[in-house]
Amino acid sequence: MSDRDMVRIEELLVDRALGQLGEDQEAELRALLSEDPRADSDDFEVIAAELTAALLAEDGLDVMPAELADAIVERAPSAGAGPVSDDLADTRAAKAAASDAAPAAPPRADTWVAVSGWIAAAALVVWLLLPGGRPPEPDPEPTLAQQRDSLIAAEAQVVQIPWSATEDPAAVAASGDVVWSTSLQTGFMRFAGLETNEPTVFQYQLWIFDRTRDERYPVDGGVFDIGPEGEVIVRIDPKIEVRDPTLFAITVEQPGGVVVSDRERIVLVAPTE
Amino acid sequence: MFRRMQGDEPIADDDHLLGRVARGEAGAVRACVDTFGALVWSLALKRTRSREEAEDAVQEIFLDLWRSAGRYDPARSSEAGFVALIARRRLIDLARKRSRRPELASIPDGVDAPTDEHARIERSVEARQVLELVRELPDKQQTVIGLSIIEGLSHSQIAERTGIPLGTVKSNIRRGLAEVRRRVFESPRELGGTA
Repeated sequence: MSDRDMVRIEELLVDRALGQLGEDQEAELRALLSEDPRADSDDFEVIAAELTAALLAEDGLDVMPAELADAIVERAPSAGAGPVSDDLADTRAAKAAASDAAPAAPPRADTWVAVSGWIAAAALVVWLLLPGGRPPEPDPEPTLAQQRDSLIAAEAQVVQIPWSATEDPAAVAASGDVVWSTSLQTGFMRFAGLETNEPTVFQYQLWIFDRTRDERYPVDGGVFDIGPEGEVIVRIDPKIEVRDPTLFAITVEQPGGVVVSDRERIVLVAPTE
Repeated sequence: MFRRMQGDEPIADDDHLLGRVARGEAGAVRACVDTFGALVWSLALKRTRSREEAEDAVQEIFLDLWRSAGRYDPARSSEAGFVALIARRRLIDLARKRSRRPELASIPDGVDAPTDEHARIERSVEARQVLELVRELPDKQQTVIGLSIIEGLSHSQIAERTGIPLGTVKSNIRRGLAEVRRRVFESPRELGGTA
């Protein structure tokens, strides 16, 4: 590799650390690093992060609102200091009730509003128990199965791909499919026969490989659990935009999931092509 | 000390806050939020358009942090630096999504694990010392680096705000950070190390 190439790699690594790397530059960096992978480095990212911490401390930090801090603590998964994420608990409960499930979604900023709403909820229960207090039954929310069917019916560009099981023991009897709409950035996974998991031991995690991204870093589709019921449907809610999916893959990960999978246990895959 | 040298206090110090979070110790999450909440919140306020957006971003950042805490390596960076790294990644992703610009490939997660213990020891970074090194750069380089790192401005936005030509903005940022990197990672004795 020439000195000129090394200089160019350094320039591109700086831009990457600062979030200034465009698609063309990303491809250029990838091509250069393919000649010498050892030239890849996160040194600049570490420096930028340390500098961020130092400069902010020097300028004076803003105090985080107490309600926000409380909400973060309460929603922390598998932390000894707080309860398991409400999202996960809700997921388990929903599956037990309706054989449907939703993945753990990023917590919302209005979490503490829900917490303070306990009082209102308690009052509502009392009110409902009073004679004549019960309001008309609202229309039931469509189940995930119904939502899945609606997506297939309404969205012309939706893709539907059957799962292919790997040799992983968890997937021996697994089947199902993926339904995905790129235009709506949503979809559903359907599972049958996938091994039941204990959420405190491991969880399943979805990864979406996107043709427009570095394949080493697929999009995190969230974690989910498989209970003892039969068919399970899980909504796909990726944290970032998926533009051109090429492969959906399910891995087994530690509770709460991981940011980058070591891909030691891939249980199901669904290629789009 | 800028770097941790062999013979100093143990490098594999599992008693740090992020390690306690990773182990799920009672109280660790609260302590982590209390310790680093202001850092994350301050950065989010600077890098988002509204308080509501900052609140959402902070929650996502801490969710990322809980997932990544087990990968923190005290020999590679400070805890505050690691938290800032996680926060920067999330905020950069959010900015890309918000702007609807073509999304870039994700930045590799986690700080690279060095291949040998000696390298691992020598690559430890501390926030304060990085700041001192940046302070030694020419004023123009300090300015553009600060605007890029803290404000999250693009090169074009920095050029517009400062009146510095775009090409000069780029070269100043790159040269400045390359100099800091060289002094941090390639010249251990230059900073008073005793290895």
